[in-house]
Amino acid sequence: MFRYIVRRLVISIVTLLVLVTAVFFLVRAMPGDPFLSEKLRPEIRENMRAYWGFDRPLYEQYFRYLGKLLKGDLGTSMHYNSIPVTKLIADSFPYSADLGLRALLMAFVVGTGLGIVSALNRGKWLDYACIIVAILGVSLPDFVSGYLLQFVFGLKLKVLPIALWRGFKYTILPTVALSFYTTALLTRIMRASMLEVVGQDYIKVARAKGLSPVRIVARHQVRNAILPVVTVLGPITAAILTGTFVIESIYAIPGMGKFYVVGIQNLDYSQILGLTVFYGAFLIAANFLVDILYGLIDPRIRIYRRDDRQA
Amino acid sequence: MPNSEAKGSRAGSKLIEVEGLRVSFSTYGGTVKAVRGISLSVSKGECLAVVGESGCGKSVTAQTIMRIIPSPPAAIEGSVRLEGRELLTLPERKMRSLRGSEIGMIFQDPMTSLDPTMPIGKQITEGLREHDRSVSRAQARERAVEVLATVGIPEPERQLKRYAYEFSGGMRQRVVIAMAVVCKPKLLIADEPTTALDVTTQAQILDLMRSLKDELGTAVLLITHDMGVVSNMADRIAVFYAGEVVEEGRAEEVFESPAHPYTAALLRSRPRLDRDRNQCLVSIPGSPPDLFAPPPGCAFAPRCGLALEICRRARPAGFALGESHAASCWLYHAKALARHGAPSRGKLEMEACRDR
Repeated sequence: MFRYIVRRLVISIVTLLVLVTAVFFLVRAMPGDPFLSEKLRPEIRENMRAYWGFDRPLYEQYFRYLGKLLKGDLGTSMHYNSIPVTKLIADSFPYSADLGLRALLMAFVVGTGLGIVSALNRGKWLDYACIIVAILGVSLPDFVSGYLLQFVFGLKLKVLPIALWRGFKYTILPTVALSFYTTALLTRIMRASMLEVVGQDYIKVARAKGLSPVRIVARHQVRNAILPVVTVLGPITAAILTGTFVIESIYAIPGMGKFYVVGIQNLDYSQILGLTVFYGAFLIAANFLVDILYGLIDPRIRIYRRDDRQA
Repeated sequence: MPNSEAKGSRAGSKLIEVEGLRVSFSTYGGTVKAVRGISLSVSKGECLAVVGESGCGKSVTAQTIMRIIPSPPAAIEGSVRLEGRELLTLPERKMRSLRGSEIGMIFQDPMTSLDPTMPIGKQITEGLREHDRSVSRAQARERAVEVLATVGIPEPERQLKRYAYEFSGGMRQRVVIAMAVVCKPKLLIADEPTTALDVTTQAQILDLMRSLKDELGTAVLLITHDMGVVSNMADRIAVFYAGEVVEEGRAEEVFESPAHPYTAALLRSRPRLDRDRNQCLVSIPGSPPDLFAPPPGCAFAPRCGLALEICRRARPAGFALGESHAASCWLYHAKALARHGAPSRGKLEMEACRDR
């Protein structure tokens, strides 16, 4: 297990390096530079370029960036005059993380819950109701559901605030909007998985033992059915994170998404790179955690890791 | 099979009695009549082997006795009595309290019978604690260790926390058996308990089941298509064909003087060590009838070399051939006996299997 973790860690770092490299060169490959939009006299522009080191060869800039990155320095924003990117992140990430975690938790609880209810009532109206919600959820993009929720609950019913982030009431709509797609996806996965598990021999054995239906579902069916859900938690975290850009701007939440968009609009190299590296590291870490969680639920995964080591 | 004489003599000690059991499933293709009027019984401490080829209704019968076949969609008629108590009409809650405690069941494939995400110890104790809430965790654990030792798992205390994948097929089947007998059931239904195992392991599992039967006094309903398994274990044999019992008797009677042409053919198609190895294996020509539309007469008639005119028209009743031996075959009707005499085993085997 330990060597498996070390190996995964090395792979993660390589992934991150590839990410940094790709984004670094891609950003530079975009036409123009951060100072083109501002109406500057050519000599001042040249000065700015020299100040940020753009007059150096590209590979030299790259290695200097990597060197700074190793020390945890993500550079300073070119747009927001000399505010370190790390500070931008530190100020805005808590909002994004708060929203993202709420959405993830809600998607997991509601999604698996609906999946279970749906599978247990297969072919009945409750099942169909869940399927309809699931199809709606996967088909509606978050910018549509986000505005719809604002319209219905904020403007028409006037029960919930339509924007900002100032307490629990304010979190409800953005959380629902952000988790809608994921909830629907998890409902479908959980339902399919439950229906597959119910046909397994060990469920029949559990019935032959005289266990009550509730215990069979809780102890044997759900536990086995939840594995595919855990598998997709990694990619789903990614989906929710990217979803925050849109939702944050719809609900005027002071999260990280704004800086990403502004950074790209202004070709703010260090801001784009810094945020990408941060997101990348975050996602890689999330996937890593999911892998470990998977091993905790299914003991067989642990043995594969042992085999892994021998190989 | 309604042969009252054979059964009447030991009626007092009957543990489970199945009478006129019919099970059919509605599918998109029509109604499959999987079990078509089966009667059998198992006495206390006895082993009844149910023998037949795939799809003859063996497993459906077993699962109907346990009532773990969902109904509907299955349509179930007839009667199943455990010590005189009717099971088919029992409320589900009461039925549940019998499952696992009075009737234990072993399934065919030990690789899939155990929950991969739960330690085996817990899988053994959960049945125990379900049926008797007064059993403490420690007591249940003790009992699990005890039962694992009984089924021949070495160092049972150390195995409780282990998972199914850490055991070999034979060991898993031992665990499955331990799960089935932990509550000391009166009846153990074993649905092809050795089919998924290799031959050496098969023998060990059969030995184990025999000793459990002798030590615990558990009656066993053994379902198999393997004649070798039958001869090892069974006191009595019921031969199934197309959802019916075609012959029933004590093991030695059925083995030594099979009466039904199907039984004779089945016995003849066993591979044998004392024959020339270059000789082809014997098979029964034709295939079992379509259970969507079973034939009006004897289900075996189309494949039977000895079939009479009546065999294709009417279903034969059970004819008693002795104290405990009976066969559902028109050849044993008084008229047929008067005209042709009782068919000899040689004739049965030759004719029943003759290639046509």
